[in-house]
Amino acid sequence: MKDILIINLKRFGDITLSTRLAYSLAGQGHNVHFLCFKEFSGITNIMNPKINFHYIDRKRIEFILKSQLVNDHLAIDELKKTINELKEYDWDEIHNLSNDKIASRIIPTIMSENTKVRGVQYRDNELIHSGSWEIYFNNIANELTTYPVSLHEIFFRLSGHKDSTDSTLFTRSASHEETVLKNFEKIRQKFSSYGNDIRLMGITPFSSSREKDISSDEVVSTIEALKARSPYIIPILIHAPIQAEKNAVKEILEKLNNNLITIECDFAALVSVVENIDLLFSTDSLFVHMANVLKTPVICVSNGPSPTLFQGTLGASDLILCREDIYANHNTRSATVEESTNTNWGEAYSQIITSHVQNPREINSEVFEELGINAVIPSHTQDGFVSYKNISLKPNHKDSQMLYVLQRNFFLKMLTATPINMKEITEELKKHDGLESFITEEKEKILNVTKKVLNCLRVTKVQGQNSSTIINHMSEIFSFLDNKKSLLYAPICYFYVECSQAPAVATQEEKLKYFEFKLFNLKNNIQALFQFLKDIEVTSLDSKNQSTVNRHREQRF
Amino acid sequence: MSQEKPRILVEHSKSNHKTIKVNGIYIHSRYNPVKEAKSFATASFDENASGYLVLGSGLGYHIDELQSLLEEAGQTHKRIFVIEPNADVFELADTYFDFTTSMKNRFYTDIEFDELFFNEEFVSFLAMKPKILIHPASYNANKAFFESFLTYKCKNSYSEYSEYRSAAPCTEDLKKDLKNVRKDLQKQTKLTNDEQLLLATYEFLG
Repeated sequence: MKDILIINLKRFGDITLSTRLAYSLAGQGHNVHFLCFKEFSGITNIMNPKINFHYIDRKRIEFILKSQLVNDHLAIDELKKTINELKEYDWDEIHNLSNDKIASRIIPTIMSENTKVRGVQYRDNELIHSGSWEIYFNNIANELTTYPVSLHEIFFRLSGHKDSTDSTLFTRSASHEETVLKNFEKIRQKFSSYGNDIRLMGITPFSSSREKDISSDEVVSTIEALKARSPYIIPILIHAPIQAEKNAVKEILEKLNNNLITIECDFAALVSVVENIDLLFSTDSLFVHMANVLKTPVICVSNGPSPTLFQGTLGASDLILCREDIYANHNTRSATVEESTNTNWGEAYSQIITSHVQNPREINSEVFEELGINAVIPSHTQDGFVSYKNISLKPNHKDSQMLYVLQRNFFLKMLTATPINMKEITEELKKHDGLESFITEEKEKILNVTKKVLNCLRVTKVQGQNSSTIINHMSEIFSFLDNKKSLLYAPICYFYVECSQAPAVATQEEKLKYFEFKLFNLKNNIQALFQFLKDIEVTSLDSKNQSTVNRHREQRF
Repeated sequence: MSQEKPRILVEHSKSNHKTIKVNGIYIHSRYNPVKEAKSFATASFDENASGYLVLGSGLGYHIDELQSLLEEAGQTHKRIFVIEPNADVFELADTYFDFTTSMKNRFYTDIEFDELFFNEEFVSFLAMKPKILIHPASYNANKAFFESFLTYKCKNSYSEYSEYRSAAPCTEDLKKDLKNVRKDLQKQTKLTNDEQLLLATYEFLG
């Protein structure tokens, strides 16, 4: 049994997602602890007691540092309280899942010589990565135009464990359970004329970030449209007992003449509510992660400033909706900026909800196209993770999808040595017209960068070579980092990070040896990429030839 | 020069409640201190306030009324912190009102204004950004104290931090502001755990 500490100093959603790892490890019999900010203890208080939580009072520390009234040393003391608590353990493993400077600075103060650290940490003033997934998480994931490996997968890959979370991650109180079941039964009876078709749909439009919220007007128009289109879907507005949400709910109720079921519940009651509804229509927030654990189907409206293929809901029959207008406004990396539309979003959402309730796996991409919504569907991979598919037919999203598939498969090949199912990828990629030209361009870039790598390798071998010449050659390689849509970005970024972590105390000769070794690694990774693209090209050509033969056969027949 | 002790006189108001005069200033109404306290508390009450920091206790009428309003609003979890520089006044208040009934509230008296900012519980309370209520007559009776309190700026020197610690993590230039120590530490190639923690703390500023 190991003593394991997981750190996530982010918000509700990320904390909920990363407790899956904590709970999976606790399930293996380890003594698991979790460190987060105190302001998010609402959610951690309802987690299974197998996870031991520790808190940092961020608000207090920030107040002290910002205030001119109080000496900053009180802030250091405040942090030290938590550190002293954590120092009582001899950690076997520490997992930094928040990838931030605070966690990275804390780790060296609580670890021992034998602690295995996953994720980034500071060694003195240098940021250290302990492995490939750490570099991916810290330097690559957020730079790409798509998000080929979801945050859920990164957490588990980085930690080297499997997700075995089940609904017992959350605790429930018997009284809440009883009340919820009783009230939901009453609702079902009230609408019993719809027989077995009746569906209770929870709506959670609020999140901790206003720009992610589903607006009050959209909630109202969705509910009105649903009543007209599918009265057997009973919307239930779920909100927290906080003033801002109460005010928003009041506004919604006024617009609907109080004709809406609402539930005000704290975290303790929320689990029973989310578990007992038939569907959750939600903004991208902790509710989605909770519903995933409780196996409640989700339609997630992703209004945040993330790429369409960013991590989202994990359920096999879930749906992620990304509006074209919001995507264009947020995503400055998007090639095409669309003008905002005058769509009645309530009408659009109600249409999608209805067809999803009737047939979750039957997705008609044309419907979404007309509505100006990108629909993304998760699908489970063989190793228990999720890959996402944007079913939009618009050219820029099709390109994103193609890039996503290529990046995802290449990264997994590079980082996990997972054998690639070439037929499956080709099947997916053959729908994309731009594949051939993309591969041709990539191969050209690869040849170009290979020359530069070989040049650089040659220079490192010249005796007495001065470092500025080598740096100049390396800069030429790093210039390829400007193109984040290229598959070359990842191997070069790895090389860049590894070079920046060159041992500081080494002699010139040792340094050259280090760079030479890293250059060989880069060369191997680039060769692997070349081979990967070549394999796709060959398989897709075979597949094309095969389909041409089939077409001819059909025509002859 | 020793400071002259304030002259305190207890009188009965027209409503037969007690009132006091400090150095000739009436701290409560001469007519009806309870009515006056009620209107002060009602005007000051804010449903959204995280707590209340009251400058001046007087005989405690306004604090008692404020506590009643909190109870009526079902906000008994909210705390009231009171600063009364004059220990004699506070002692009198304590005889009229049993402030110990509410264990969560705090009263500070006979204390230097800067001492408060080293009191952990007081600092925690300030961190919640409570509503500050100035009891006008008490404020005027202790103007110098409250003005110094409200305009206080802490010394943020490294020496204070180092003295507070039993051993200084770094002995050079102890007069330096902690924020400057941080800048120096960021350039160092070796860091102790204490120094790493100091840097971690400043990461909260982003």
